[in-house]
Amino acid sequence: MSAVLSFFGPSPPQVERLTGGQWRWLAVLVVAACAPHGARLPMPLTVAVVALPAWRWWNLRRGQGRTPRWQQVGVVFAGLATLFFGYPTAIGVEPAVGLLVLSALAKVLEARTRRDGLVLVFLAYFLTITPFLFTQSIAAAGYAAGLFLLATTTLNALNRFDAGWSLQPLRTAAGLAVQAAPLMLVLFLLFPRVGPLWSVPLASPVARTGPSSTLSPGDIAALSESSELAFRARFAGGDPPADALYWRGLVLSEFDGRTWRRGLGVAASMARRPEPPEDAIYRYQVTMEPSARPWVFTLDGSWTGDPRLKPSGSGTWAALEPVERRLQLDFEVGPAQSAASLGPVERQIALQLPAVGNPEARVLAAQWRNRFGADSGAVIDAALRYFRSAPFHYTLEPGKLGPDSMDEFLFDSRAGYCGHYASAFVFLMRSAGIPARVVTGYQGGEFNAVNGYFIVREYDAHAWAEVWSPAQGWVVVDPTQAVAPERIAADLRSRAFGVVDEAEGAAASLWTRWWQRTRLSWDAAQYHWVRWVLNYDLSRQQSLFGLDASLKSSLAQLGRWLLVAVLVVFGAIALWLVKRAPRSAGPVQRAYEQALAALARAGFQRGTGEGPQAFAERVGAARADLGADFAAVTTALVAQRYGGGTLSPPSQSALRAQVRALQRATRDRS
Amino acid sequence: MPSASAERTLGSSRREQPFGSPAWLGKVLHRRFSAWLERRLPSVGRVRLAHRRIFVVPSPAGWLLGALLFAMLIGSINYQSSLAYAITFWVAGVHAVALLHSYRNLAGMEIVLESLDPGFVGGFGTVHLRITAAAGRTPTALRWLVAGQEVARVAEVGPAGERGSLRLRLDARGSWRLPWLYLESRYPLGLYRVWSPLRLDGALTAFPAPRATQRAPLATHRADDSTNHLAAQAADLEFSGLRAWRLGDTLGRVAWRQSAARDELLVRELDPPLAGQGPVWLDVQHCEGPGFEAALGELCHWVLQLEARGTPYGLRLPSVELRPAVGSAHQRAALTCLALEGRPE
Repeated sequence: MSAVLSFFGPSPPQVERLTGGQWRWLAVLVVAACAPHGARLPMPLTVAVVALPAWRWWNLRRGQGRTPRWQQVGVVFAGLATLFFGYPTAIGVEPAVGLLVLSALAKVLEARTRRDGLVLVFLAYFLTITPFLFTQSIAAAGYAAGLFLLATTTLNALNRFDAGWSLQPLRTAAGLAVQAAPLMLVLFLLFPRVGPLWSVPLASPVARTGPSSTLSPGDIAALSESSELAFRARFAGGDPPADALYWRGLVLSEFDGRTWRRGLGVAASMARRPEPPEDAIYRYQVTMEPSARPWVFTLDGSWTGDPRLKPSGSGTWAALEPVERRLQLDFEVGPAQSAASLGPVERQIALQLPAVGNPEARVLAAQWRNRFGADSGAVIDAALRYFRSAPFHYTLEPGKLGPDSMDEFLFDSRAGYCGHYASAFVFLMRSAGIPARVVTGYQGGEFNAVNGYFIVREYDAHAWAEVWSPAQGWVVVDPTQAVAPERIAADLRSRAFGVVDEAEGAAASLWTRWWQRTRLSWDAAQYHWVRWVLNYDLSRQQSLFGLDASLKSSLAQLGRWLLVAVLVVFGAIALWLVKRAPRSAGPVQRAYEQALAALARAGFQRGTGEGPQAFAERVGAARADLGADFAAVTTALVAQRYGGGTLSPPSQSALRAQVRALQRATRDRS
Repeated sequence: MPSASAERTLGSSRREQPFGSPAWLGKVLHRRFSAWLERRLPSVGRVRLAHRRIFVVPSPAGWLLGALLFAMLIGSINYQSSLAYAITFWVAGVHAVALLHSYRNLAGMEIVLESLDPGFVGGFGTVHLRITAAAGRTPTALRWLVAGQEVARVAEVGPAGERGSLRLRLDARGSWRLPWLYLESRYPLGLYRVWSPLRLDGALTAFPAPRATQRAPLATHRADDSTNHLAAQAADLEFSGLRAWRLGDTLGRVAWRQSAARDELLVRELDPPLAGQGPVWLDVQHCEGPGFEAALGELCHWVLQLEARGTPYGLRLPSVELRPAVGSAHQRAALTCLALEGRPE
């Protein structure tokens, strides 16, 4: 009797232990799945993400297959305590993710069998999508794709019987992932993107710079120069002139001597509801980054029917809820409307000043008023001239100011940023009896020529003034421009990116230009990423597939298409995978077929009754130059078909060389 | 009845479970399924695994991943995250594609029953098989199951195919038809259980378990007669046993009765008579054991003993008589007679 079971390996164990190779994949997987949360977890858990798998690995290497129960329990309790004390609240996204990470780590300590391995892989699949609670960047998506591949690789390794470690599971998993990609794409495009089924806690938003709801220039010693993205805007049709790009966020009307607030102005101006323009001169789409604030930044005179927004007074718009996710908002701007009159309440608010303080500024304004009388245009010019002629300079680090901040700024320090200029200007206007208000928002933005949209960053944050003109209504006056016409963050931008302004363009090195170009291309990629991937939703599905506007029929249509598309794609993959004629054509058969194709070019066709040998002889007789090579290929074929042997590698390469020679020879003649 | 196991003895070996161990299936349903399976997949010596023979169901791990996918989808919807949708759909796509790969792992494979080694009751019979993969494919991580028990594993079937053997425990004397063998695979991701029930056409012979006794059950009083009888015949025919039929053997030498019992053609083997030790007769009448089965065990033991000593021995059973001879073919014939005695196939 022959050796029993010898070819089928040893008899299977009752409990399938994880092999060394499987452990290796699992350890890498768990660390990789937990790592993206490392920075967000409480410190001890961050350390544990690497330390616990390493410890387990070390114990396994020393032959300790089982972690003592007390150690497992100890680690779980320590982890729970860390989570409890590490987070202010027990409910929320961060503690939940912490709990998932902790359970994966605890499972690593416990894991011994294949079943434990399965649980870990499934946990890793779930952990793959959790970083998207916090970031949705291209890099995060790439990492998640890698993690998905690693989890699938590990799952494949768990289902093999060979004990050794190899890269074969990675190749298998990559094949599966590639074949699954069409199904993923179909599901992604057609799965009906309904709204949240129930409300869920969101990740705590990170506080951002950018305009706040008040402005008190004297209290801020230095302004942020963050190059973080605030929003992007794409104009349909023509782009507006650069000096029209005042993105209005908040209108501040109330001044207490130190701080500008929205105050009563909001209520008063709410009385006048915006109307949709009859014909739009610009249409544009703003893609807002999450800011945790409700403010939305629009050009003057913008209108939208978006239900997520509400008019917020003085022509501004605000979201109903703080912006926690990226928003895509469409606006249209009508032609400038002829000025309506300013109501008495509005006028009063636009002239409000504290009763005392800043006496010197009031005196200066009174002088202008006496000189120019009711000619508000002349007063404005005088003020701007004053900013220009006196030694004012623009700085982001003006230092703090004393109690009479306007006086100190106008006559003493004369150094400040847009907030200082705007508030001093409005103070002077109001003192001179001209209705004026401070507007905060963003100015300008970088035009991305690659894709034709504006990128507005935090350092584009700006404050300016609006002055009431009986003829034109509210008119933008930007006193900062008087002081620093190039203010434009040339200075700021160069600090953030090392890019030199247009004025120094000639001196800009090739490297700088290349760098700028690359940066714009990368931003363009991110823009499309946001536009087409992150913000892909039901409205986009409706416009892409031309669905009905009603929710119910859109869902029904999408559902039907999804079913059909999934069946078709799955059927195609199935046909390709299962029904595909297995590659029975070995190298020899392939070589012979290639040789036949080459000979067909030279006019040789193998007859229906003609055997390979006879055909080779006929070719050899007619064309001596082809005969030798073709005879060799034929011999290999015959040897393989009837001799049953497979060719060894050297003769395979010889075969290839002969086929190439045949192909060359037939091509030369024809 | 042969039943599975390399590791453990099966208590009751009468069960034949096409589904491994479906306790929920119920006896009646189970019998019906067996009968249906028998009609659908008649037994053969060479099987090519086509779609008719391959069954696929999600494994517990497959259901679990399905539930996880549902949870991931709910998360994606509630957090309105396109990227979470994408990963969820990708995992779902892999789940679906794994179904095709699971099927493909078994499809097109060919299984050939090469030979069968008989054994003694209480021991094992061995089934020698050859597996060949469909061209261009490498079936991976296969298990052989018999009656719900895993009996062997194949890590990978190479391009040249694999040879291997399954051991089946023999619980009772006789010639037993091969039970349902299940070739199962969960490759590549363990999400689907794919299996193929095989009823290979062949029978395993279970010889009686040898039972040692002090005294050989020899028919001494008839020994002389039979030697004379043998001597009388030796003039024209001297045969020492039975062996398998070979090309060139004349029909006249075929041992028809034994052949009929064995499912293969046996011919009487001609040997020069062994010098020295005279032939002896083992007779069931002279056994001391309690009962017929014990007697057969005794005869089995002495067949092995005499063969080892080289003493020619004859065998006298109620339904068959083997002339004294020695040699492996004779021993095989004797043991086969003992296995089949009183057990019409």
